[in-house]
Amino acid sequence: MLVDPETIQKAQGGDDDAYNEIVRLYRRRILGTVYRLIGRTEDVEDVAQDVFVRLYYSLKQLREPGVFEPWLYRLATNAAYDYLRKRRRAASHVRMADMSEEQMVVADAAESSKRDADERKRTEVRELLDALFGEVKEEDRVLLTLKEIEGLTLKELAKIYEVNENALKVRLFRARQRVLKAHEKLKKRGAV
Amino acid sequence: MQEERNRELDEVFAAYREATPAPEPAPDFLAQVWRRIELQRPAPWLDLIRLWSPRLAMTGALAAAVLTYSTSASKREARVEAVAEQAYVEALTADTLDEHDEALWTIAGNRRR
Repeated sequence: MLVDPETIQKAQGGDDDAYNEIVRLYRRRILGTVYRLIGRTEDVEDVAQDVFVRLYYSLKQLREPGVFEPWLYRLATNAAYDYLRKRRRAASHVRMADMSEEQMVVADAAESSKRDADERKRTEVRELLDALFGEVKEEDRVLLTLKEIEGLTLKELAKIYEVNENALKVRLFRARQRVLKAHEKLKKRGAV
Repeated sequence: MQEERNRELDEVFAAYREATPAPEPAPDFLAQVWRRIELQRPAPWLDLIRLWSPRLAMTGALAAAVLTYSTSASKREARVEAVAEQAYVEALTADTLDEHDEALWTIAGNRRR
C-alpha cells in the first residue's frame, strides 16, 4: 500500500494535510486506472478529480484502513461507470464508424505524419483493445481492465465487487470468453 | 487451441498496459479537487438544521403529549365537578340520555325550553 494506515486515520479525523498526502500518493495511479477504464484522455482529469472528491466525503465510512486501496478502486470504478453512463446518454461524440472513408483517410494521414513507428504501434494496440471491448458489455470491460491491465488480485477484486472469489472467477471466465469470441470475430474480419 | 487464444489475448492486454501509461496530473490537480470539495460542501445552516432537527422534533412531540394530557385531564375534572353539583338522578339522566331525543327528555320530566 502506498499510504500508511495512520495517514488514513488522520484524514478520517479531518486532517486536510493527511488527505492531501493521500491525493498526492494516488493521483497518478488513479489517473492511469480511470484512463484505461473510460478510454478518453480529455476527460481523465475530470473523472479522477471526481474520485478524490468522493473519497473526501466517504472516507469516514471506511472502517478498516487496510482495505483502503480496494475502496479507492471501487470509487474509481463507480466514477468511471457514472461517466460512461452519462456519455452513453449524451451519445453526441463522433465515432470513427460514423466518419466517411474520405474523412478517415485524411484523419489517418494527418495522424501518421505526426507519429513515429512506436507510437503507431501503441495506437494500434489501443485501437485493437478498444475494438475488442467495444464488442462486450461495459461490466466485462471494467472487470477485465481491473484484473488484466491494472493487475488487481482476485482478493482485491472480491473486496471491490463485494462478492466471493469463486463467483468472481466465474464472472472473469465468462467475460474473458466473450472477449475471446470478439477477438476471433475481428480476426475473421481481418481487422487484427 | 484455447490455450493459444488465451495467450494471444494476454499479449494484447500486456501490450495495452504498456501502450497506456498513466497521464501526468495537471499542476493544479489538488487545487481543483479542493475547489470541487468546497462546491459540494453543504452550507453551514444545513448542518445546523441537521444537528438540531431531531432535538426539535423530540421537543415538539413532548410538547404535544403534555398538551394532550393536560387538556384531557382538565376535561375529566370539569365532568367530575358537573356531576358533583347535580342530583344523582339529574346527573344520570344527563349522562345517559341523548339530548336530541325529544321523547326521552319528556319521559324524564326535564323538557328543554
